[in-house]
Amino acid sequence: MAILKLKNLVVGYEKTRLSTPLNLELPAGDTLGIIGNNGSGKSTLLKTLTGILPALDGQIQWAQDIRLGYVPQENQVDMLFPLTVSDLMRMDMLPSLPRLRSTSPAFRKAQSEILEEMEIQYLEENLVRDLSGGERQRALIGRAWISRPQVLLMDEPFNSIDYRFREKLWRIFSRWKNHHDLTLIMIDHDLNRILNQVQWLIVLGPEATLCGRRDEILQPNLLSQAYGAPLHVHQENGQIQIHFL
Amino acid sequence: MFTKKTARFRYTFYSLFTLALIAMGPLFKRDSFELFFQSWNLWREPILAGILCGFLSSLLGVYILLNRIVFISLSLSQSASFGIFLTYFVAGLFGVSLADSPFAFVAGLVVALLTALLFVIFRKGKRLPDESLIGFIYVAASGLTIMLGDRISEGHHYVDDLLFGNSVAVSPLELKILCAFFLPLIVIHFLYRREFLFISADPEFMTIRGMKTKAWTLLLYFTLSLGITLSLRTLGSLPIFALMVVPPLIALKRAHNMREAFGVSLILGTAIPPLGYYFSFLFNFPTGASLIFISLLYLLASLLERSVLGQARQNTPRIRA
Repeated sequence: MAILKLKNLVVGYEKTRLSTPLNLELPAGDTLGIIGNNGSGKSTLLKTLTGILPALDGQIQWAQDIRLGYVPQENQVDMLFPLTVSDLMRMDMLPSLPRLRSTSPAFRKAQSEILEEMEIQYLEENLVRDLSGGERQRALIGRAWISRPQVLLMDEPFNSIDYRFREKLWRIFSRWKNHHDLTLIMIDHDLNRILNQVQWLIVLGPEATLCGRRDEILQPNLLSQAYGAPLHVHQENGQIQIHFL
Repeated sequence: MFTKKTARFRYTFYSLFTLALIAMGPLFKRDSFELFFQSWNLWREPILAGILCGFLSSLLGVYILLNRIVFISLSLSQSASFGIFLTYFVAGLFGVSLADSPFAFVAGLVVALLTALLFVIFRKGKRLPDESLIGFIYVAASGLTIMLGDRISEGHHYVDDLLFGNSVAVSPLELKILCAFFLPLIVIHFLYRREFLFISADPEFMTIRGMKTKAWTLLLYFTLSLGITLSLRTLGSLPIFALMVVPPLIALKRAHNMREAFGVSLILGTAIPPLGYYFSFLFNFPTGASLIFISLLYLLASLLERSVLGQARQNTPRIRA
């Protein structure tokens, strides 16, 4: 069953179109990758899917009562606020928090689990603005996941994350997909990483827009046209590799 | 643990500073000090009203500072002044004399509330900061107030009350009216503290999580404007501005979390008005100016707090797992 349907969706801003009409039916539990050059509209597309930005044309249909989690490209939390990592977690669990008390056993348990998974449990009472870039990114991922949304939309989630934790994050995302039927929609500049993890692709390019199953789109001539540059696709040890010529 | 210790230190520091200010009475003006407490019945309602206004102003001031709309209280006071003069002007056109009718004052409050709502509606654009819109409102309302004020002879005392306050003339009835409006506002802010905080800190994320951020923003600004406009008549425009800026500024400078920020701001906001009256009585200062002076003393004290805390931080090693 499709968790997301795009019908002739056109994204952009202030009447500037950034894509040709997109049509897609994304099944629950699959992973959709959004790739393209800088300024091609990847973040705009992601924000349009979340509802922050309006679509220029077409329709976005989410499954009923869908809960979305979102990791922005850059931290959007106003750093003037003395918010702690724990406050960040509260943002995502706001409806379930008690009105009169500051916390609940359910929240403490959920927070403890996610902070441990992100390896930042010792930063619970630290101010978000005092964290390093990588620590803040882990906190933002934790915030997006703590209430167990059905779909996780992530804009370059591996920014500032060290190599060791990036590998661990992919294993965490796989576990969440397997145990919770999580649907992932993510933007990533590392093509060799994302292409081996997704089942669906949207490629936004200056010359063409591609949208569909990864294996159908992963043709050198199509990708070259979308990126506006010649490239080579091959398999190495069972992994898809792309090289720009 | 470091965080809890510094919070306790801050509460203790400002409590001791408050006691030190009170002690200036018996030290330098013993007769006036004794007379102040002997004439408590004269000061009771104004001081209680001042405490209420100070508590609410310092609470709302945290949001005002964090949302970077520091001058909104001044803009709303000018809008209310314009509303009052407009009412008298229109009444004059129909040959009606409003004299000391409270209708004009209520109309002024309504204009201020409408101004706040218009601000929320039109602030969406990200090209210019909110303060530029607030500045425009301030200039426009001030100019229109001066133009209308030149045309009418009634209502000037109401506008003077708004700008400079009428804090020594608070009746028991006025105190009850303040309580009737302020207590629900304080309850609303306690019950929905997280909503107001999170929509201000990250409105995009909260929208994605299903919150109606526009409606919550409207409610926040409605409570801000109601609290500001009702406080204006008691304390005046400049003292309210001081209470909405100085306590939150001191509180937020070194806050380790929002609870500490609100706690320190409320302690200061509650202490400043009665100390303002106290110093006004002891040293014959105008009440509003005395209140602002006390705010400045706390600001100076915060510099001392900063150097003491900074020293403590240097001596404490930061350990991470």
